[in-house]
Order: sequence, then structure tokens, then C-alpha cells
Amino acid sequence: MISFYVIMFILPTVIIAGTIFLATRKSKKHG
Amino acid sequence: MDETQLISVSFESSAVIAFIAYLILIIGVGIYASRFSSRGISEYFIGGRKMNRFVVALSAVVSGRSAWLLLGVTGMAYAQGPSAVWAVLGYIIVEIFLFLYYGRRLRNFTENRNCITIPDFFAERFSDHDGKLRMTIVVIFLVFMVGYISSQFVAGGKAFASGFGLETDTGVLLTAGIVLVYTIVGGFLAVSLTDMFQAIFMMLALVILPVIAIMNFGGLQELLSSLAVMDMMYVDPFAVSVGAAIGFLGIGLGSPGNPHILARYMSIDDPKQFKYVAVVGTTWNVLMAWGAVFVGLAGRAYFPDVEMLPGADTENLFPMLAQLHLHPILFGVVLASIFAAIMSTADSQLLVAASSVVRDIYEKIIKKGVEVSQEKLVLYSRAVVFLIVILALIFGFYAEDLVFWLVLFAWAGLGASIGPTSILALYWKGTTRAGIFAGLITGTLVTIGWYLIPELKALMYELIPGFIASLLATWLVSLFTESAPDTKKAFEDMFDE
Repeated sequence: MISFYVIMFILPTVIIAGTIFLATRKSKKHG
Repeated sequence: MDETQLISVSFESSAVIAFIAYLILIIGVGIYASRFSSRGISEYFIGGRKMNRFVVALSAVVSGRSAWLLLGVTGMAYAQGPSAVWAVLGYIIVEIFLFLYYGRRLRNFTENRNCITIPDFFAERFSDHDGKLRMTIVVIFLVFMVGYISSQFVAGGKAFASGFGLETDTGVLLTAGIVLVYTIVGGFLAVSLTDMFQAIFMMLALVILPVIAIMNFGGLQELLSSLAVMDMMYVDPFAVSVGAAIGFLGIGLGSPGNPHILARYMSIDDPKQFKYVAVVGTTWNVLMAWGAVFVGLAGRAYFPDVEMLPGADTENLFPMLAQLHLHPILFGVVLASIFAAIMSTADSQLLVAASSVVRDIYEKIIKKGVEVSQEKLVLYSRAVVFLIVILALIFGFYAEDLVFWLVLFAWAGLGASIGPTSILALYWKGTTRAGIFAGLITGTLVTIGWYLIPELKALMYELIPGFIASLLATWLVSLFTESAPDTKKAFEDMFDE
């Protein structure tokens, strides 16, 4: 049952948080 | 008239009212967008690269989803439990990278080289003076796209039949007619704006429905206990073989190869806004996808036996569950969301197919070197949109088997041919024109061949071997052939100024 909560609640949160992280970090290279 | 009949009439009239309101909205958007879209083919096919970041984010995610998410994924989660998540995870992850990296390069290059279509992009990137590369891509597009559009119309017809009790053929004509009106009049702007509204409808339906259904069941804990008693599979996200999970994840490889998705990236007004698009698009993708899986899980608890669904068809779960739990007006929104999913995909595909005919075949091959007025090109574009709708209808009515056959390969075939070649074209300077030819042809043939051999088909989803074969073919042939003389300049054109 733990795996259910991990995949159904934690994973989507991590995906969105990860995207925000990638989108907001400063990169030296552009494009 | 007994009570049951009253309820059914009230459902029907509310659904009809909600649906008519929805129709007025999207046709109004078409009319609103018509003046802008009439300025030229850049405006008509990619919104003159002036699209707002929010519109691009939503349009990009719903153009790629179709009714598969609402009816297919919900049905899959109903049948096999939370392991259906693997079917949505692949494209969500792939699209994060497309938003953040690939989209920006494609957008910059296509603006710097004045490209309107994906064949335009390849032709410019690989100095395709004789037009053979352009033509090859156009043929691949048209073969898959017309079948794809046709299948969307047929899906719309079926939705009309089950939602409003119309004849399927009448429903097909109505779906085609509605999409035709706003697409022909309003072009890309209308398609993108309607996509935005359609994304909102789909999101509302996919988030509200499972929340209410689960609450009505007594809460999540209650639901999970009930599902676990039926079969542990319904609460175990890992109840799937490794091969099947890889196949599911591989669905995501289709995103960089489907031109109706890529056209969205080319249309954004400011390439720096892709970071915003990534966050909004991914949030939308995640909420819709997980919502669809929860709809399936809730559905299994309410309808433990598939025989309880009309026609014992898992694809009927979504509207059935909505009818059971939602206020009639919200049920109307759910019905509208099914049409929204179908139309938001069909309209984008329709424009991409038309752009290949008018921009790539007519303007760049037949009228090569001759100036054609923008008014004329827009007029021809509208005529071609009309003709493609007629063609898709003919396919839908008279060659349904062929349509079904083409659609099986459409996502995978485009994904395996255009996906790897466009990624290498954007990221590897050593990619050559001959390599691209090899990749396009290998990707298409391996996808179709793999599907047709039952032993291979059972082993893995055909897009994965098709994608890998295309990648290898492009790389290998490129190693032994000359790259385009202006490759360095081409890469400079992919970056922001």
C-alpha cells in the first residue's frame, strides 16, 4: 500500500517540483 | 412518466445546454480569430509566432492527448489498476525536456529561417535544394495524418451516439462540421485558443470527477480497502511486467515526432517563455493523467464487474461514472470534455496536414522561386482544410478498416520517423541529409514491420524498436556522408540572440 501512495501522490509532486527546479535554475548555456 | 425517465430527460437537456454553450464558445473564438489569421500563412498556420505562453502550454498538452486519455487511460486503470500510470509517465517526462530544451531550439531556428512547417525545418537545416527531403516528410505526414483526422471524426461520431443518442454517421458529420467551421475561419489562433478552453474543460472533468466519486464512496481509505479485497492488482502500481512497463513508458517517444505538437512550440511569441510553458504544461499533464487513473480506480470500486458498463466496454466508464456522481450541468461539462479532447487533436492535425500541402508542396515545390501573394496562400489554405476534411470523411465512411489500420501506426510511425531525426538535427552537428533519409525510412518501416509480426508485437510496443532503429540509421549513415555546408550557421540560428 505504501507503493500506492508513493506512485499516486509523491511521484506527481516530484515531477512538478522537478520541472520547477529545472525551469528556474540558472544555466550558463542557453537554447 | 416515471421518475427514471424524468432523470434521464433532465440529464439529456442539461447536457445539451452545456454542449451548445461550449459550441457557441468555440465557434465564437473562430470568428474572433479570423481577421488575424487572414493576414498570411505564417499567421494561419503558426499564429504568426505571436502565441501567448499560457495558450502554448495548454494547446501543446491537449493537442497530443486526444480521447485516448479520457476514455483509454481511464479504461486501462479500470482494467489493471494504478499500473496504468506507466502509460502516462513516459510522455510527461519526455515533454518536460521538449518544453525546456528541444522546443526552444526548434522555435529559434524556425524563426531565424522563416520556417512555417516541420518539412520546412528539415529542408532549411539540410539545404534541401531539390525538395526530395521535404517531399518525403510531407508524404509520411499525409499518410498518417489523414487517417488520424478521420479516426478523430469517427470517435466524435461515437461520442455523439452515446452522449446524445444520435446516429453515429450524423455524429461524425457534426464533429467534422464543427471542427471545420472554426479551423477554416480562424486558423491557428482559433485552434490554439479553443485548445486552451478545451484543456480547461478536460482538467475540470478529470480532477472533479474522481474527487467527488471517491468522497461519495466514503473516502480514499475506504476505496482502497474495497479494491484490495477484489484484487491486490488494483492497489499495486507495480503489478505489471517489466516489458509492459517499458512499452508503456515508450509511448512518450512519440511526442517529438508528432508535428501537430511541434507546431505549438514554433508558435510561441518569446522563446524565453518555454520555462513557464514547461511548468504550466507539466502541471496540466500531471493533473489530467493522474486524474484519469483515479477515475479508473474509482470506477472499479463502483462497477466491480465490467458487465456493469454499457457494452461491457471499459471506454464507457468515464461518462458512466460522471452520470452517476455529477450534477447534470457538470455531466454536460464531462461530455463536452470528451468532444474537447477529440476536437483539440483533430483541429491541430488538420492544420498541420493543410500546411504541408500549401506551404511545402504548392509554395515551396510547385511555385518554387515564384512570388505568391499571402491572400492567395491563405485562400488556398482554407480550401485545402476543407478538402482534407472531405477526404477524412470519405476515409471514415468508406474505408474504416484502412483508417483503423493507419491510426495504429500514426503515433508510433510519426514518433519513430520524425522524432529521432529531428532530435539529431537539433543536437548533433554531424547529422547529414542522407542520414535523415535513412532515419525517416527505417523508422517508418521498422514500426510497421514490428507491428505486423505477432511475436515481435507481443514482445514490445513498436514505437520503441522503430525509434531506436531510426536513431541508429541516422547516426550510421551520417557518419559516412557529408554534413550540410552551413551546419555551423544552422546551429547558431538555434540559439537566442
